[in-house]
Formats: sequence, C-alpha cells, structure tokens
Amino acid sequence: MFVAAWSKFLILVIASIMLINMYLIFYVAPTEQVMGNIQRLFYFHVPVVLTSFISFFCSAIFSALYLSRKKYFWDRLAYASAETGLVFFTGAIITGAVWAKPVWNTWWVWDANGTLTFVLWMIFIGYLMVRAYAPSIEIGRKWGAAVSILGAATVPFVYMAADWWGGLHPERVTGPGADGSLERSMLFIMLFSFACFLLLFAYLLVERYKQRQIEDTIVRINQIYL
Amino acid sequence: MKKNTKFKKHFALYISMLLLFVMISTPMNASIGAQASTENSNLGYLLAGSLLTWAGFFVYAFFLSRKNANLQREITDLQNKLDSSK
Repeated sequence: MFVAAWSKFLILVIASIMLINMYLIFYVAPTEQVMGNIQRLFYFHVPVVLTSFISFFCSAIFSALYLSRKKYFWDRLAYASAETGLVFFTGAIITGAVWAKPVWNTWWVWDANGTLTFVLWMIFIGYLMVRAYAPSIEIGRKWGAAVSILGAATVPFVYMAADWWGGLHPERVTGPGADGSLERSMLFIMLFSFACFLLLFAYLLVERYKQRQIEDTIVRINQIYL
Repeated sequence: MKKNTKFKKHFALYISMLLLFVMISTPMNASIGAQASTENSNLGYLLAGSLLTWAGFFVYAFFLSRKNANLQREITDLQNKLDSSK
C-alpha cells in the first residue's frame, strides 16, 4: 500500500519537473544563432544519451557483481538497467536522426560516432535476445552478464568518437576535456533536463526491477510446487 | 518448439530492422548547415523529435503496465492451481 502510494507520488513529482523542463527548453532557452530552433533538441538528445550511458555502466557493474557473488538481486538490477537504458538510447538515436536531417541533410551518417552508436545499440538488443533465448535461465544470466560488460566497454568509445576520429557529429561542448563553449543558461537547462531524465530512469529501473522479482518468484514456484 | 518459433520471428524482426536502418541512413549530399538558415525553420523537426521521444517513453510505460497485468493474472492462476492441489 505504502509502496503504491509512494510510486504515485513519484510519478507526480517527475511529471511536474518534466513540465518545468519543457517550459525551460521551449520558452527560456536562447535560440542558437546558426541552427535556429532545431537546436532545442539538444536538451533532449544530450541528457537522454548521458542517461543511457549511465544505465549501461550500471548494468555492467551489476552484472560483474552477479558474476562474482551469484546473487539474483544483482542480475535483476542488471537486466532492468540494460532494458531501461536501451529505451533511453533508442530515444537518443531518434532525436539525433531528427536533428541531423535539417542540419546535415541526411538522417544518419556512418562516421565514427554513428557507426559506434549503432554497434552499441545492437549489443544491448543482443543482450535482451540472449536473455530471452539462452538454453536455460542460468546460462542466460551468465552470457547476458558478459554481453552487458562488453556493451559498457564500448560506451567510452561512443562518447569520445567525435573528439578522437572526427566526422560530422560535433565534438563535445561540455564535460571533462571539452572546449566549454556552451553558454551558461544553455548549460543550466541541459543539466536540469539531465536531472529530470535521470529521475525518470531511476523510477523506471525500480519498477522493472520489481517486475523481474515477481517473474523470478513465479518461475521458482512453478519449479518447486507444480 | 514454441520458443523456437518465437525466436525465428524476433530474429527476422531484428534483421529487417537492421536492413531498414541501413537503407534509411544511406548518406546523400550530407552537408553541414544545408537547410538551417532561418531562426524559425525546422519547427516541424523539433516537434517531431520531441513528440517521438515522449511517444517512446509512453510506449515503454504501456509495455510495463501490460506486463504488470499479465503477472497479476499468472499469480491468480498459480493461487488457483495450488488451492486445487491441496
């Protein structure tokens, strides 16, 4: 009862700050001089990408913990994290493609960033397939953990691809080692948006974890009693 | 057997998604700033980008709620089976 009420309260909080976020993005953020209004997709694209990277890292860490401690708790967290991260990463790919079309005159470019993004996306789709179609649940857990760690190892290359190998995708404008050319108000709105999406990720992660826990319990009951 | 058919279906979907992605993404006349000159241009793309992102999250939320309903049904079935086996 308490958990359900808490969950509803959290949804309300997330919805409220998301509305503030939309107001900031569409009414407060300054219009970029070269690209115009389409640049406002930046406040979706970058936070969603960063959130998905964090979720992939979480999935790899939880997978490593599962492999070393053999506790299902870590495996459930790893699965929930990978699946939620994939949803966010798909959102990042969509916003990236929609932004690229008017600016680069193409939906997608196979430069270093585009190619590695595609590879990372496929690795985590592969993760879900391994979990669904492994010969047994136990094997799926082990193989899945390995795929998740491999996927997370790809993340730094995707993050640094434009800086290291160039291409049409612009270099990073914020973060460690970046040129820091982002205006202060733009940086603030981007960070606020990032916090909003991070909160949404945390909520979805907990909800998916709870579902996995129930699924595991049903499987166990079926094995023991039926 | 059922699992194998499901796998084939999903694998076909996976491959067709991959091919579709490659076909759509073939770069044609890619150039920076090709059409982005005026401030109010590309509002349609901005709208599409933000709506698609939210649509994605809502589809996932719908998927989670459907899964919740299925789990609830499975729990009820299990309860019935356990009660009848007593």
